[in-house]
Amino acid sequence: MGGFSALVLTTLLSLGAFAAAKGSEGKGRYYFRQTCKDCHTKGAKGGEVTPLTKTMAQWSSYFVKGRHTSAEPLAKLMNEQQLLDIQTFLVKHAADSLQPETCGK
Amino acid sequence: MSQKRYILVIDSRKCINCKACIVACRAENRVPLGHSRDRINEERRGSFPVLLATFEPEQCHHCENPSCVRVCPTGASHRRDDGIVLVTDDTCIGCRYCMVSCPYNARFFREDRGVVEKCSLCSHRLDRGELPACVQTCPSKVRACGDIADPESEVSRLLDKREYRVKNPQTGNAPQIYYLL
Amino acid sequence: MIRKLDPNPKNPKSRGMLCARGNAGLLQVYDPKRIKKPLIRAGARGEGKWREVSWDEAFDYTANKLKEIKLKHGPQGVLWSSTEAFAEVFFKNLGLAFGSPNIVRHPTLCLASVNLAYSVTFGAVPSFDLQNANYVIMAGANRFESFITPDTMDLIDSTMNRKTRLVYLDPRFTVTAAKADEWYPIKPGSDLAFILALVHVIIAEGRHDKEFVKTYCQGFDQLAEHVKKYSPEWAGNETEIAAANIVRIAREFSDAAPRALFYSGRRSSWYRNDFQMRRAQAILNAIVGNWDKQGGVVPNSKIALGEFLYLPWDDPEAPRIDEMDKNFPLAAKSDGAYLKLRENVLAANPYPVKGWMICKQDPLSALPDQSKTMRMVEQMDFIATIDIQMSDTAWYADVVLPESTYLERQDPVEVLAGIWPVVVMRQPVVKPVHDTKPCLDIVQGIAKRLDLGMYFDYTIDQWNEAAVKELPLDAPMDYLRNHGVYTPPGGPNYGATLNPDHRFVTQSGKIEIFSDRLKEFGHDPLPVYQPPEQPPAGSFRMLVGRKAYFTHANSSSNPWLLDFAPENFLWINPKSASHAGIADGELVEVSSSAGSAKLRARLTEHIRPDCVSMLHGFGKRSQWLTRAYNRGGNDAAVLENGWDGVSGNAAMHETFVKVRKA
Repeated sequence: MGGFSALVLTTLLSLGAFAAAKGSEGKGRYYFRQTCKDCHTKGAKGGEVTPLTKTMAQWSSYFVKGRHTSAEPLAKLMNEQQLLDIQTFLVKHAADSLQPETCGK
Repeated sequence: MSQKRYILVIDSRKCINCKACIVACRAENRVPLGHSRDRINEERRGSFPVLLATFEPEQCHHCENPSCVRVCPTGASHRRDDGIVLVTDDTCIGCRYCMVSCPYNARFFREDRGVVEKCSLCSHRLDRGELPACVQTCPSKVRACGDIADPESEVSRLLDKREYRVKNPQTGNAPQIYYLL
Repeated sequence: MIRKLDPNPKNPKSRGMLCARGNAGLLQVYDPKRIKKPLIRAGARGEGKWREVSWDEAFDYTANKLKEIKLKHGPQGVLWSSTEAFAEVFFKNLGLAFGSPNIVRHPTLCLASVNLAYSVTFGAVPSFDLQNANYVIMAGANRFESFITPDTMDLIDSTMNRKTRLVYLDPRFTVTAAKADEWYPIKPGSDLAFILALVHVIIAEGRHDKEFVKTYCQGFDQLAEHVKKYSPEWAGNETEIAAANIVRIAREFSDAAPRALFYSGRRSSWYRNDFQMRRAQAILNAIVGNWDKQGGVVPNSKIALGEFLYLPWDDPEAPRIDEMDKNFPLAAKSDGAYLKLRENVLAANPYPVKGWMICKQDPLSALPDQSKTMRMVEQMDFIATIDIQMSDTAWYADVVLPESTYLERQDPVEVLAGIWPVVVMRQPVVKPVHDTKPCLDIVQGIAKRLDLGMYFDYTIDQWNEAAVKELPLDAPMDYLRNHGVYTPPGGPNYGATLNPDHRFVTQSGKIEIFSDRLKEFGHDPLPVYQPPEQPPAGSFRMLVGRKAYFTHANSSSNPWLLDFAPENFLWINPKSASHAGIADGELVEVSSSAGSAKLRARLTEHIRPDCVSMLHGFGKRSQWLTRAYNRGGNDAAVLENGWDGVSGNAAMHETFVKVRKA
């Protein structure tokens, strides 16, 4: 258990630095809604995907490894910066992220 | 169709003294500032930490034998066939005998018009099939208003099922607000 | 002309009722002292001299001031603060598009500690199923005077009709106390001791839901060890609630579970340990297995609204002035932490903030320690307020932008969350009576002049069309126009998360009784009790509270409401008053290290002898709030600065005051 949380913390910290360097959460949210949501809604061909679908570590490795194998390669859909923005957004709102609920928007 | 007879049934235990009924009445009936047609009687007893507080909504009791109607010299205070006691503005001369005779302190004098005013049970709303404003708006649904002549009405069923009392029955006014116990 | 407002019987939240404030709402529209045109300050701040201007002039003026500050101090030099409203999103987005990280919302003056405690424990902020609970413990939430729909109606119905047992803790004898089955005037600040002792008894007697705990929770064994020292006898001394009662309540509560709940309440800005106290409540609920069950603590169901795809802006470059990452790394960053923020603005740390845009918020009334807020006002180069009335803060602004009231404007479609969520759409019932605008129009007017128009290139109708397009209705906009509310079929939802494979939105994916994350960030992973400081002899703890007929500090100038309380009084126990030689109705001065207020004393048995209390929303500075101006005392002037260390939530019950004849 201790090892697991240490791993997550390390990932979180490194991502924090990484996100500050380049990715934009706000823009990532926009590209995610604009592009990904075409196929990734309930009933659509990609099935529903939200930031909660994966953990922070899973989202990080998903993009590092360049998954999305069953459809168009991600690099064909968006440029590198856009993918980085999307990754930043997904990690920040992942299933185990630090995003406490609040009132309203 | 048989003659309707409107009454109010009040479950004071549910009253949380939030004043919604009073403000709804103000809006519905344009009650002048500083007055209200309905009120919430508060009773507080005991000393810290053994305490009691109760709240009891009250307004015109729409008596079956209303003293206000008996004493009115012009017939302005009158009782409709459906039991609602009203004051006709045009014929009220502002003598205020009715205010003195009311055992429930349910009337006030309206300075700007020189007439006596009171709860009308929102007769205008009842006539078009709506509930009185105080009954409708209440967050905890303290009041029920309806036709006691109809055995299927909510008020009839409540009085069948529950114990109740009326206030000051000894006056002979036969008040028509039934307080559930 | 609006004659009367009636409740919408189709809305399952309000259950066909309208409270006193709802009934009086129409007077907002016809208030003779409304803000009728945009205003630019003509005299000194707070002098009340205004120049009526056109919207064009007001927008130009505001945009020019914002540009000046941006040039000098960067976009982070402007603070954007707002309180929850359907249209808040537009205002907040303007601040973000402007490039400021300094967006501060109301939660840290309200319920941030509850939100964070439940997020850390369950990964969600749930609702409390009062409609079906058989046993309810409530501390201070005073639901019969502090209305929330549908909780207030559900609770009165369940306690009076269904005979739900209500155990209520409050140093004041409120209406909720009067209606409760048991009322305990608990020693202020000791709520955590009471809760830990309940947990102690339940675990010691093996009354917890073992199957639920095993399947869904992590850290139960650590909890069992941790609470061993929190015996009912110990808690009896701390709380002044007899140990025998604590034991009995623990037994009754666990017997009634899962239809038993410890209610969290909203305004949870009481003490410096508030987060841990709310965590203990969440843990108590968890171990009796009431999660996601009828009569228990239930995660909100979702209705997914679509979103208008507006252009994204660049993320702000500067860090937040309240340094959330450093000070409150677990809290909701986008809400900010208001009181810490005020400290850092006053210290210009780490940079100066010289502009303040305010929407539907009255910081001078809402924040404790008004003199500090006033210093913050004074050090601003520019303040603009969007409001429907001349609040105290608007009174000290440089520009006042009058928003149309809720009866005159089209608002964005919104989901009201809950066990049975609904979609609501507020529509205008009259044309604006004066030269006012809805929030989106005001935001667009400013945005255009800041060259940010492209981020707000939509109409309210386009926004709403996008929001409702996926609702399972043939013509969703027509439906909402006709009904005002959409209620999904099927009624309340329970049990969606009760599947051993369900991943809770927590670090471990389980319900976290023991929180590794709290530990990592240097906080107690299980709630640890620290006895609260007590007022020194001759001093009192100041408590704040509500009446059902006032909305925060906003409605005390409404003539239909003010009638019920034309001024506020200082509640003081007759025993304490006689020591100080204070008679009922006498003018007194209440003072703390933050400041003082003068108001008349009300001698009442309805409060503990070591506490005093006053109603919020009086002693106003704005002369346009004709009926509340200078009447009674202002609690914000007396309350001291202070907050909960984990959530940043204000601590409003930590002020000790002296009371003397004025």
